Amino acid sequence: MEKKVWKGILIAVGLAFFLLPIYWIIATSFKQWPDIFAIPPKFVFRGTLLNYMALFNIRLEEVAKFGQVGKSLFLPRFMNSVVIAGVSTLLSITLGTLTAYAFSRFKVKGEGDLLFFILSTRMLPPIVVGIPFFVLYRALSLLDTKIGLILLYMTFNLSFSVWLMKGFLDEIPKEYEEAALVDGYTRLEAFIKVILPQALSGIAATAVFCLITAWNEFFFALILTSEKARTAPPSIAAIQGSSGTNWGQIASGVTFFLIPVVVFTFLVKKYLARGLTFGVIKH
Amino acid sequence: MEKVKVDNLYKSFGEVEAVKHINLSIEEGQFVVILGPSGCGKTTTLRMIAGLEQPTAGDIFVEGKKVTHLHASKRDIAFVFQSFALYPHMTVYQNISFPLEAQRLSRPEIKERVMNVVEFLGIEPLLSLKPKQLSSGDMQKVALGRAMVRRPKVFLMDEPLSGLDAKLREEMRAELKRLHIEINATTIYVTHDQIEAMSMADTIVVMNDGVIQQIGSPQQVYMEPENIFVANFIGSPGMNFLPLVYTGKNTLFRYGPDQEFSHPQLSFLTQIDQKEFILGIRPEYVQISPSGLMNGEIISVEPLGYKNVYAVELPGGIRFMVEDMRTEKYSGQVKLQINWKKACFFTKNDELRIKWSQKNG
Amino acid sequence: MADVRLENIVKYFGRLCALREMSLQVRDGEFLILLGPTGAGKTTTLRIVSGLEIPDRGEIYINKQSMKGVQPRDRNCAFVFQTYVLYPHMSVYDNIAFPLRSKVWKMDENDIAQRIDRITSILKITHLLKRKPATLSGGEQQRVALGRAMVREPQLFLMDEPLSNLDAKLREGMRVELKSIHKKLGATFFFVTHDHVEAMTLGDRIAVLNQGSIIQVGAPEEIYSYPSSLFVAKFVGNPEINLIKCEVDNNSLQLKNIGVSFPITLFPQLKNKNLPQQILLGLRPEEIILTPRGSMKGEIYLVEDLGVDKIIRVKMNGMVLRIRIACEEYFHVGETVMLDVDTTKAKFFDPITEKSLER
Repeated sequence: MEKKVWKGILIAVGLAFFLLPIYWIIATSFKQWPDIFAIPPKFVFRGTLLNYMALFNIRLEEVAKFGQVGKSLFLPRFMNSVVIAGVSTLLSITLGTLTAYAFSRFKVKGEGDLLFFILSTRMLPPIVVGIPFFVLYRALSLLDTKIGLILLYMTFNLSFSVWLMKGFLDEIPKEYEEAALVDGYTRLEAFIKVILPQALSGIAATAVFCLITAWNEFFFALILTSEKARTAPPSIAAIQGSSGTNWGQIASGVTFFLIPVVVFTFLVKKYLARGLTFGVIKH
Repeated sequence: MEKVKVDNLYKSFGEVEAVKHINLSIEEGQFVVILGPSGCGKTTTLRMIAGLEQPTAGDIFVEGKKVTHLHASKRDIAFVFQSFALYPHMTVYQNISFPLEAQRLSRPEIKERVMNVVEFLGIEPLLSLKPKQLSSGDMQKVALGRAMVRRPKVFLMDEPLSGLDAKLREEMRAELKRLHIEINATTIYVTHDQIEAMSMADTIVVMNDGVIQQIGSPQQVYMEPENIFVANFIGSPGMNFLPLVYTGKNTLFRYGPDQEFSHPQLSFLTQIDQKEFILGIRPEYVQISPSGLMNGEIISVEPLGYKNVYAVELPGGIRFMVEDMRTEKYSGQVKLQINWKKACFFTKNDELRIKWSQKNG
Repeated sequence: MADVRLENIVKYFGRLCALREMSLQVRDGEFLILLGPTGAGKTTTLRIVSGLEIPDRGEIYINKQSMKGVQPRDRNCAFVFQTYVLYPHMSVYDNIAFPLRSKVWKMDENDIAQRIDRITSILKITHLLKRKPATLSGGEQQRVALGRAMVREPQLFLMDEPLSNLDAKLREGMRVELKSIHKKLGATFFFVTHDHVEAMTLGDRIAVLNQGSIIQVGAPEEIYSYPSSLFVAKFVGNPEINLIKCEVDNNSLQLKNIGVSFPITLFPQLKNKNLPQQILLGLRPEEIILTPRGSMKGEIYLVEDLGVDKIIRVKMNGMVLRIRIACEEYFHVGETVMLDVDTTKAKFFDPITEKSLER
């Protein structure tokens, strides 16, 4: 019994360590200005919705009384993030799964080399290609466009989704399509009706990873967009107040920004648990 | 003192009761086979004895010592898996020596023990090969070697032959039996194949649905099955069953819709306070003969080379399997004769064998 | 009508030759067993007939029509896999209905329901229709897989070791059922297995395959009693046939391994044949008889008591003979016994060509 008590304490300590920053940010988003900088740090305080009101341009007159200045562009930028991350995830999953299927089921010439090449795109630190991409996008008039970022995120996530999905698809015995083929289905029909339903957990896991990567992406969003297509991460970082960086509003921005991804992960939780442990199909 | 004792062992997985309060006592040097269909709890029982699974209730003793919650590595038992579980990145020599390295024996000692076992099993030429270069029969021997080299108190084997081709299985059966005669190690062996059990066991433990149905020698479970499950499970094909209803007159019994027969051997049944019985007779003890008492029609014949097995349909739809060692092939309508001395009788409601002391004649 | 003809099929997997000029004919309506050890090429053959695999050379004809370029879905054959391959995300009903919902069939849902009802009654799985495959036992999954094959009422059933994942007892029961289903449907069954007992009990004819070539084709009794080669003699029969090296010497046959000799006249099957000096004598376990009047002496080495059937290994002159006997007596290791031989049943082989000397 003693062992279990110690285990419990250790887990509680570990959890506290990891969850503390998240708690702090969420708490900060509800704190008034003085409380944010209070020493010793305040865990209990009087809450306020001012930061959120400023974020969403609600009752700006009241907000102005507390020294917040200017209209917040958070909501449109947030919607940009939703569209860009969502569409790019959808594209990388679709293309990635189809590519992975080809590698998994057919004899592709130079398969090993091709797969390595696909993976190698992830080996590059993004900063290295920052300037080249800027130049390229300027030439292609893709700067500050949603489609520009969508294509970029899709490309970066593609390597990841091909590799992950190939692993999941390899686990599904090819006899499943073969049974459908003999029974009168074309390969595409067999893929849609028989393989995809079994690959759902893999797709869910891959989608979560791709979505989180695209959602949190900061660097390219910063340099390749300015006004129209700017996403949330760069904007949150730049929120200024009358007396310098507006930490309260930043905190509320971050907290709100967390919500969609957490919700999405909870929605696909059922599929995720199976997907994250590979070896889905027991045969 | 018993080598292994299982006391009131119980295991449930959530709502599913896998093993329901079983008791077993195994003597030193015995080859005990736990026999039963898939899902009967035999593998779970074996794994609990090994320590790979924790019982929900009950105890396990090895040489008198309680090992119920002892870690598997400390029980001094060896486990042979169905899938062999050889380490793919090690050679045959390394696979076999691996358990000894954990025991911190010296290099020369390890080598001596490994070579002993390897010579015994006849696998010296394979020492430097890796598992993927071996045939399944050889892999099986290496798995055995890895277990033997530890000289454990008990060998536990989980359906070790089911991954082998039919022919290989037959050969390995004889080899395993021969091995046991020479080493005389206490072995608990789990299988669903009753031929393996009959061939190799000193004692057979028949299990179904988490409960032990009967414990006995092969001859006992074959000739004196406790209930219909055991009677049907042992023997290939299993025992034939014929529901009988006592007509009330003499020793006349009815079967099927309107067939009747009578035989002095049935007289003891008339003294029992029931009217409905089940007659059990093994296919080996039914013969196609013109002097038979039962009518039937042959629906199919399985030619096995040294014998023919007929499926005969009796009036009322009951099917009897009949084994015939003669070379001629029968067909169509036939008469069946029963070797009454070998017949068993079961009660209809609880399917237990009726035991009686005056089985004379 | 569904007969299958394979002509000189050659198939390579990389450098490995799986099928070497293999030719075979499956007659319309028969239950043909393709029997061979693991790796012989049985599954490859089946997959080639179904169209899941294309041969490198050779022709396949189903119903006398060439299957060159014909897709699997247009061949009107059903495939039963060893692992059943039931779609886990569909109910049993949907699994069985699946083939009928393809574009090739486009069957009306009412007709589908009728067919499924009929088939599930034959297979006794009507009570499982709403369940998912993962909740079924091995035997139940096996029947659903069969149902999915039967629902299309194909003329040709291709079965890849469908019984090998079943418990021994279940296998026995399914064998009888498969035979009766075959009779009922009248379709052609092309069944693959490594289990020679299964082959003997199920097949109308057995084709023995080894290392990509057909060795012998015939009815079960023919394969058992008149094997054309050493491989067939050893592969079929349990326990394995006893092979004794012999030397032909004028009028007698010297059985070298066991130190006994017989006058050659006792073997009518050798009459008027040109015999090499060294030959192999094959005796099946039931052809060596344990009898006190026997002329040969041996010591019991191992006893397998299977009930009435007993398999006894006897050591004679250093060689271990496998003997099958059906009796009530008990035998013990170390006991001395007398043996006799049923000379009329003996089979003879040329040790070099490994072929039977009687054909």
